[in-house]
Amino acid sequence: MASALEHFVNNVTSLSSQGNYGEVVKYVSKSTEVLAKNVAHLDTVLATLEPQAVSLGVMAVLCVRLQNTTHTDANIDTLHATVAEFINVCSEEQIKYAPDMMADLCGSYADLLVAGNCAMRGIEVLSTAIRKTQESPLHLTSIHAHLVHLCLVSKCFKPALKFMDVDIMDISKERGSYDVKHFLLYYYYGGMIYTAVKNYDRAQYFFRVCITTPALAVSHIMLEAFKKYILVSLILEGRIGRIPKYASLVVTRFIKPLSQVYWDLGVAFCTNCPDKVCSVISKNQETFTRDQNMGLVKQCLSALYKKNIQRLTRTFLTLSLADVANRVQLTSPQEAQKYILNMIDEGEIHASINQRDGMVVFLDNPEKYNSPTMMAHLDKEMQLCMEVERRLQAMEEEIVVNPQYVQKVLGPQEDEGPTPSSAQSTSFSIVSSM
Amino acid sequence: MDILLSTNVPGKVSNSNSPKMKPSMVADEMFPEGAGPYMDLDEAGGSGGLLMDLTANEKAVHADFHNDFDDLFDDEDLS
Repeated sequence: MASALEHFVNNVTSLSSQGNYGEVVKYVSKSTEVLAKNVAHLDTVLATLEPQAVSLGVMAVLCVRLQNTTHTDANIDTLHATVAEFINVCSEEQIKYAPDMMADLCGSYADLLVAGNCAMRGIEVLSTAIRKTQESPLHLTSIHAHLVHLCLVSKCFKPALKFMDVDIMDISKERGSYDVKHFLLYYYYGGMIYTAVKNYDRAQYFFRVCITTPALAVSHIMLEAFKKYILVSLILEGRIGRIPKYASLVVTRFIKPLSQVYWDLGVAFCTNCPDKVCSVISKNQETFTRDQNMGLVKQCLSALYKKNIQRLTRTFLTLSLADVANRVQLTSPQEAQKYILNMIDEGEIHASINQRDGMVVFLDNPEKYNSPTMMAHLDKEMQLCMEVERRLQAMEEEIVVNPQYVQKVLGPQEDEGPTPSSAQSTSFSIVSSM
Repeated sequence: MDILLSTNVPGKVSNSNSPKMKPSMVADEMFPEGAGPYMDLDEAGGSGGLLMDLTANEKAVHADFHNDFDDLFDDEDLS
């Protein structure tokens, strides 16, 4: 081992044993160049250092090692195993001193796995990394984006859902290195996962968070999220989803014109006329296929047939299957029956089909809102609202005593110094894009 | 799934094969609403956005992000 590396090993071991982790972080940050110059010997360093006792040192070495390798490296399997072992046993206390380095490590690791067509291998590893790095389960880290990426590539969605089902309340600053790209990717990839598992409500929310991120430039991630936001909104609400007031001007001025084909589809959808929708689809098939959104576009057409069947229930008590097929422009009564059965199954309509004469009877919603189950459901929803209110209150309290905020609110009087009473009497509201 | 195989709903439906309509509803059930609601373009952005440096919008970012996952949403493709 080169003497510079020996010096590195001795220093990180010594500083770590003293519990001086802040100093270790400073030292390993300065040592990146030395490590990069000795990439060939880094495996020996890794074998020397104890991952649990010298976690920050091992993490720094692994970061450089991963950044200087490819998926065709002869020792790639050993390296993957080393990363997995390190994340499993590393000291949580130590890595919290350098969450940015952990994010870099996980990013390089995920890239290598994707390039080597073994994304699934990293899912459990990154899940552990998130749990160890997070300040709380409500904190978003850069690693979240890498995890959902691996889940998408491997088409294994469940592990990501465990994290995505928790509403994020804060973002880990990662010593100032958190990149907005990771935020956008998390919500874009997350929206794709929710779309794939047909949780359209949540998918729409994720895409909305992505497209309402404050922006001064057109992000390709936001652009793709906007296209999917339109399609998911058509399936979920039967109309083009509204863009919240707090969205950046970039969305309407630049991203919307760049998604004109999708907008046209939405406009055609809103006419409730399948012919018009089919016409837009066939005209722009190439674009939809190139964007890998053709499957979602087909789901939109299917959603339009469902929407039109649902509209029939507002007018008719009974209707023959042939009539249904004719009125919603389906090709046959059998196809109409398939749609109706599917909608009954999903609870989208309440109806019965008389197989003898092929008549459909549209029924009223049997829910009387007087069952213990419904009561429990309402109670759960109210608890959720109260929790959100409590969190908003806490955020407001935090902001109201923030010196920067107080200074901004006081404006020209800032020289006189803020007083708690004047800050608290100021009325404001929190506008969150989360 | 709860599918009744009888049309015998008292006071509501006859056994005739002709369509029965709900009372006090619009007779032309197809497309009575016209086009659906559109997004109000003035809503987005807000007036504060006008102060933004528009030259910044000439550039695009994140062009290199990974977005090739095949079509994950095609229900007909179960391969």
